Amino acid sequence: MANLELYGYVILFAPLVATVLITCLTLKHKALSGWVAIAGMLAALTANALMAAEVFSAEPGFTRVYEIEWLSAGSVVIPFGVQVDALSTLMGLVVTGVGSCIFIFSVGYMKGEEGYSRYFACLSLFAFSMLGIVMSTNLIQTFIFWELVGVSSYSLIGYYLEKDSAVDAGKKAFLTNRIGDFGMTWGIILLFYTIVDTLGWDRASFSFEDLRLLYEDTGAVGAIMAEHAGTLALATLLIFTGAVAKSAQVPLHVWLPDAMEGPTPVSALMHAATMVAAGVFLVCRLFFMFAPYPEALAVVAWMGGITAFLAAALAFVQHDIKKVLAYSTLSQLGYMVLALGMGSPPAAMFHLTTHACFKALLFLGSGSVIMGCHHEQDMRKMGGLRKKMPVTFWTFVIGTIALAGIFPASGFWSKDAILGSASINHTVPGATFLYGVGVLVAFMTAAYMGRCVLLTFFGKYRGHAHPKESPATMTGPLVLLAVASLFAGALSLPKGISAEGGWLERALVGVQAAPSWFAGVHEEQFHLSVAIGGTVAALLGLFVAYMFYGSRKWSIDGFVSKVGPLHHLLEKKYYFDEFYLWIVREVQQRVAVLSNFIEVHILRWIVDTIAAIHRWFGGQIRLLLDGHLHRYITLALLGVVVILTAVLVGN
Amino acid sequence: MIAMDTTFLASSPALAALGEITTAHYVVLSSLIFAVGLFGVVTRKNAVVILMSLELMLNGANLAFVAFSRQHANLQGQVFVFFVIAVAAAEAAVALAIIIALNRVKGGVSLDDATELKG
Repeated sequence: MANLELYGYVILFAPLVATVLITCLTLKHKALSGWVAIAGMLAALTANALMAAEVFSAEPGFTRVYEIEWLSAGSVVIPFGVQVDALSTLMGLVVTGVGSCIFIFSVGYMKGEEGYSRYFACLSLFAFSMLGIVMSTNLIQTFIFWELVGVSSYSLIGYYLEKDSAVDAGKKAFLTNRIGDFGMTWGIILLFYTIVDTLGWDRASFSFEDLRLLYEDTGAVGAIMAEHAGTLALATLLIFTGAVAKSAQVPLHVWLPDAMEGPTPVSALMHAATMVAAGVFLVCRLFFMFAPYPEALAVVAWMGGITAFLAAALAFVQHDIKKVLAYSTLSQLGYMVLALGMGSPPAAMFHLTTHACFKALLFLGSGSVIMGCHHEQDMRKMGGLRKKMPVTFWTFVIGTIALAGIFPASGFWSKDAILGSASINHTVPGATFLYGVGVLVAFMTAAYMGRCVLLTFFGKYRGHAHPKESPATMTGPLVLLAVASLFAGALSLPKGISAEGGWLERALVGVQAAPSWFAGVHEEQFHLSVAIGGTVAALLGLFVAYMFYGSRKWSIDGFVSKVGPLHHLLEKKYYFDEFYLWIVREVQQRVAVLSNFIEVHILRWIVDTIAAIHRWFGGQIRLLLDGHLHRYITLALLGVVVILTAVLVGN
Repeated sequence: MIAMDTTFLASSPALAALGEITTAHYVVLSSLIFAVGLFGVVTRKNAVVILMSLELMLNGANLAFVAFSRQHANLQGQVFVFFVIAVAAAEAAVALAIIIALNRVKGGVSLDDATELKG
């Protein structure tokens, strides 16, 4: 098992080595930079696969923590290391697996770009940051990599430096994430302070496994923890705000659609498959902190449900193919968060895994389409690409089927797990309503994806370019991801389909704390009614999309004119951006003016006055020094005489 | 331990009248030399004269060092004197160079002309 530590560190540092090599050595050699980055990623993938072979064959709940003492202040030690368990291994596989496909795809997509080497350096840095979160053993390490992910995301969204919109989008993403991180910082501080305050310095720790022991304690410590349930639940929710920003949940979702300004593979890797999943992963990792507080979980569940619905509605009015996928991602992340709130991390991780496959596939497919149409992203100027880009078309359709949740693609199983967990939940207020929202979102998902496929690949070509199929470095990853999208569902077939029930659920048994109220909630059963409901909703969605955009029997313009105000609300994205702009202009600006006034006219006045007094005294003393050496000597002599006299008289 | 042979002093009738020469005598003499030097430094305008006065002050101090060195019967004072002499030599070299430069720029070595270091 000693190898596990080595695997862990290889996974973590291989992409960093690639980053350093590219920035220090190969910036000038574009092709080499790309291959260095891919080599780093493949090394991490290999190590992760070897790790998976050991971890997944071990007993359920298998956990190993390898740490070194990184910083210490008094009795507080901040460790750095790798945590090897089913959760980190699975998430690592998602990041390195999908990451490898996207790195290879990028070679084709970014061909001839000016900043090719910079792109791969940033991409590798992102992989390092992301794997740092995945492998982290404690809150501080997580937080550091959490910020690093923010930075690398910023640099990649703003990759097209010369485009103002890209630079603005990068800033927006970074600042929105900062808001969440601010909450997370306070959550960590509050958690640590509460533990120190109630249990003393001896029990204070940032490590997940130490914290878990505190939360799962059934003796005296547990009793003390229960006494401070309110404070601890607040700390948990504050940490959750970090996840809200990173996983783009309403109301901190505004950055994600804008983040599509980055190159398409970046959108696929970060803003669909991995980075935005970090929030979900964090909640899974810290699930023992949520589990004792049904109220906290209710907040999580409602946030997820609301996001899933609002984002899905927005996807209908987008014309940019990437924006459709972006809102779809928001909606699916809402699904995952909903599953977390319903007390089922395995369902969330399951959907995270399958979603990473098919959403990366869809994004890369859209990238291939965009390349084919000569960097045209507007679906109104596409159409009829089915014949011209057959590989892209078929893989895109597979991704759509998986996303819509049609049997037997992977999305069917993971969506079913989430809907199942919602249908049997009895702790979240309004769980039945949220289940209804889930089914409705399944319908909407199928509908807007149907619209997207029909507009892009069917009908007549409406653009002016000459689309042709993309090169093998691009279609290869598409095919790989399509296969994964179809069969990833086999990871965790539920009870009732396979004999022993969900594999993931068993593997992730360590993730779940099990307070008394919790038992049975997460039991992953196959419910025929849930599956039929979800499937019917999805098929209905596809049918509606066909009637509007395929056969054109129903008029889309007529429909829009009937729901005018609603359509307008969607076009304006519920006025979130306007609202934030208003806050910045009206509220923040006034606070800033006031602060400026206080600083300039009060604080600076105090400081300036003190300085002026000293300057005046200095000016007076300066008159003595007129440049005549004799005066200096005389003064010095006088000083000596005074001091000597004082000393002698004193004695 | 360096023994100072003072027997020849006794052969002089004038000196014999003073009685034995003690450390106090040396210190008084050294103070006088130092005071003369200081007076020169404060009152004279000519840079060269000031430099010579400075040397007097240093040597006044040197004399006190040696006297006390003898009284305490150790070599520390004498070692200091060597340092002072060495430093004085260096100082003289630097100071003379400055004075020459001053002479070139101002056409004289009076310190009244060199008042650029006005605060």
